Amino acid sequence: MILKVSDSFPALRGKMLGVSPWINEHSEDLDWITISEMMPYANELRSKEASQVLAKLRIQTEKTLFDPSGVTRTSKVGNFTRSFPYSIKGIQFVHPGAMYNVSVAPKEKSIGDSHSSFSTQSYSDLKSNGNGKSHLADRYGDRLLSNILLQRPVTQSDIIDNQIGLSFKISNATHHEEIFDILIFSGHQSIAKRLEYLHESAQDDDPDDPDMDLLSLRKLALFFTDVEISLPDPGIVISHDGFLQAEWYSSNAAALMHFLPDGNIEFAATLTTDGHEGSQDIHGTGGAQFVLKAVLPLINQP
Amino acid sequence: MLGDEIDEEHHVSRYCSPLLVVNGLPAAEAFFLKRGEKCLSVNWLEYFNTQDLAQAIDRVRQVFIDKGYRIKVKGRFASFQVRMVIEIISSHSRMSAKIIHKPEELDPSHCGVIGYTGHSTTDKLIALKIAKLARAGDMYPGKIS
Repeated sequence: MILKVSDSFPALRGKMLGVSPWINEHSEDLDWITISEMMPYANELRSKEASQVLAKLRIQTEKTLFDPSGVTRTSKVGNFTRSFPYSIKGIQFVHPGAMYNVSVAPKEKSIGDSHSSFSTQSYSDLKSNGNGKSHLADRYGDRLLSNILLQRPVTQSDIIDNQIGLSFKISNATHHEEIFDILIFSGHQSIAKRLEYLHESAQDDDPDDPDMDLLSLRKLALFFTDVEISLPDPGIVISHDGFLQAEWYSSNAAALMHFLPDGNIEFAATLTTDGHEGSQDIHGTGGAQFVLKAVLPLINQP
Repeated sequence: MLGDEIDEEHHVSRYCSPLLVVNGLPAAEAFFLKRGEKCLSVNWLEYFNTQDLAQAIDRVRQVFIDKGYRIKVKGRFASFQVRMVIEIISSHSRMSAKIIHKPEELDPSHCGVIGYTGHSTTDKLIALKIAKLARAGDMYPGKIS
C-alpha cells in the first residue's frame, strides 16, 4: 500500500484501511490513556523489560484521562510554551520537553499474542495494584495496557496508522505551531526549527515580506512526513509569495521544490557530471510522487 | 552611464536577507524577482574603483544605509562575476541576457539583471544555478556589527 501525499484522509480511511472509528474523537470504541496513569504502578513491575519501557517513555505525571474534546492543552517545546487544541487524543509519550500523541494498539492484540518475557503474573500484579484495586485494567481494558507495556513489535499496520494520523493532523492543523510540533514529533526537528525561525522572523525582517502560507506549510509537512520519502534535510525559505521552498545543494548538484497551496510542487534541479559537458537540468510542476521521482537522483548526490 | 552593459569580467553584488541565507550561502529565492520588479537589482562593484571587492561591498553597504534599506548582520552580500551570471541566463532563456547600469540618485552603482523574470520554472532553474555559483569567499556580511 502506498500513501500518496495528495491522498485525502477520508478516502484512505474508508476504502483502504477500514479503521474509520479510531480517529474519531467521539468514538465510544476508543481506549485512550495517559502514561501518567500507570506511574503509581511502576514500582510493582517485576519485569525489567517493562521498567525499561517506562523509563524510556519518561512518564508524564500531570496528565488526566479523557480530556473533553477540543480542550486546550499546554505543551512546552524547546524554550517556549504554546497552547493549541488537540482534536485527536492518544497516549502522551513524553519526549524531552514535548508530548507525542500515538494511537493505541488494536484491541485484537491480547497479551497472549505478544512475544515478551513480561510474565502474566507481573501483569496481574500490575492490575491488582497491591491494594486489590484494578481500576486501571477495568477502566481501560487488559489488552490496551498490555500493548503499552509489552513493547509490542511495530508492524507495518502501525506505521500506516501513524502515517495516516500524521497526515490527518497536518491537514487539519489551523496554526503553524501545530505543524511545527508534528514535525518535531515525527523526527524532523531540523526542518521544524528552521520553519519556526522563518515564521517568527519573517515580519521582523521586513514588514513587507509575506508571512508563511499555512496551506503551503501543510503541503511541505505532508511531503516530509511521508514514510516513503527519505531526503536530506533541506534549506527552507519563504518565497516572495509566502509559499515555502526547500532547497538542496551539493558540490555538483542543486535542487529546489516550491510547495504550492494546491498540492503541486514547482521544481528545478541541476547536476554536473564529470566527463559530461554542461549540466543535466530539469524543471517543471507536478504532484509529490512525480516530483520526487524526478528530483531524487539529483538530490542524493555527494 | 544609464543603459550601459556591464563588462563581463566585472562583478556585481546582490543583498540577501537573513531569511534567504542558508548555511551562510544564498538561497535560490534570493535571485527571484518580486512582483512588480522588471529586473533583478544588483550593484556594480568595479564602479567604486576600490582596491578589492570587499572595499566595494563596504561602499554598497553604505549606499543601502543611506537609502534606508534594512540590512542585517546575518544578511549577506553575494558577489558574482558578470560573465558567469550571463552564461547561466543565456543557456536557459530566450531573452537577451545582460546586466545594465541603472544608476539611481542615492545608488549610482545600481544595475539590473535582464533576461529572466523569476516567475516560471525555467526561471527557478536559472535562480538555482546562480545561487549555486556562490562560494563562501564570495559572501560578505550584511551589516558590520
